[in-house]
Amino acid sequence: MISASVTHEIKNCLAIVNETAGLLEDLAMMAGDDGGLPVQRVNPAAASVVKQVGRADWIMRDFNTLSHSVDEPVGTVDCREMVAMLVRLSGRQAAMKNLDVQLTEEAETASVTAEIAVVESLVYLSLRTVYDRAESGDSVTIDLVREGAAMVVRIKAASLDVKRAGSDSRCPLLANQLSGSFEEEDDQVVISFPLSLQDSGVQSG
Amino acid sequence: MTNEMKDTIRVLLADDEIEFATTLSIRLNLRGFETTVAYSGHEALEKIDSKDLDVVILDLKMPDLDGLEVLARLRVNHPKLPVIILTGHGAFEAGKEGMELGAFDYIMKPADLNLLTAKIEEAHETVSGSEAKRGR
Repeated sequence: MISASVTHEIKNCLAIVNETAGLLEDLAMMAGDDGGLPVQRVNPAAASVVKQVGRADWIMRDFNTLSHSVDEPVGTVDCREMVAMLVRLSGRQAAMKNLDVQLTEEAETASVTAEIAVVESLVYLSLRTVYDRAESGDSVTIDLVREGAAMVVRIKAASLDVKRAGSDSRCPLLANQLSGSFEEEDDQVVISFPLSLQDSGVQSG
Repeated sequence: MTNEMKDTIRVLLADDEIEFATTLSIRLNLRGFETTVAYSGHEALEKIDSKDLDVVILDLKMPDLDGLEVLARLRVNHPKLPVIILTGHGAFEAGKEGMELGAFDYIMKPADLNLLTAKIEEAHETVSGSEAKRGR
């Protein structure tokens, strides 16, 4: 699901670069040997290319981080950075419903040592659950709170309708695998996971 | 770059990537097409209902209403309006579904503009030719 979204986004970046390069070719052909290129057309085109390259670079950076977590069964990541990355990677799905997704300023962080791919899958699918159930144009806030030896992530939307779409059955299973939890409440989805393997009971190495 | 001999083909570009749609629109205008742009599925349907158009270029992944839903509605309300799907989404399955819903053709992004313009002209001629044969 994430890889399909990522490839779609990269294709869109390439499509914009492709059209912009083509437009510069068109303008050059029209200018010919004698005329100069119109600066008011060229400068925005160049800026567009730079912007799309930057956009694609960020997408690939995040996707590379995500891919790396699958390569290693157990790893350590910063929770807040991980959630921020997954918000970026799910940005297209949020944009499809004009959702404004933000981490709260008070969101805490801590390092988590776990099967990171499982943690990332749980967070990503929880985000998608909220996106699917929120009304178009809603605001989605994400709060992270360290509670003892666990990190609790609350994903909230004012218009959340738990009846709108079916539960993703993978979320409880992933939470269970981590010795964590997944709860759907009236206006939020709440997940938790231990911050260390010791607390999750998973054998490392 | 323009061909003054042929009728101006009126094209709707429906894509939520604003920079892509705007740049493609400029390039098609330079080639003698008359373009209108829509940035969402609902906006596309509104413009199709309110304007005379000859061909629709439709992205599949758009906010509010996706391309396949737009296509399904067009087949009911504007059955003769040819639709070319132009998308970076998925691959064969999405294109197949679009063709089964009655799209004229399917092109992946990033697209060769010469190929796209040829498809636009082919779509327009196919519909125009059908109407001419019916004596309209």
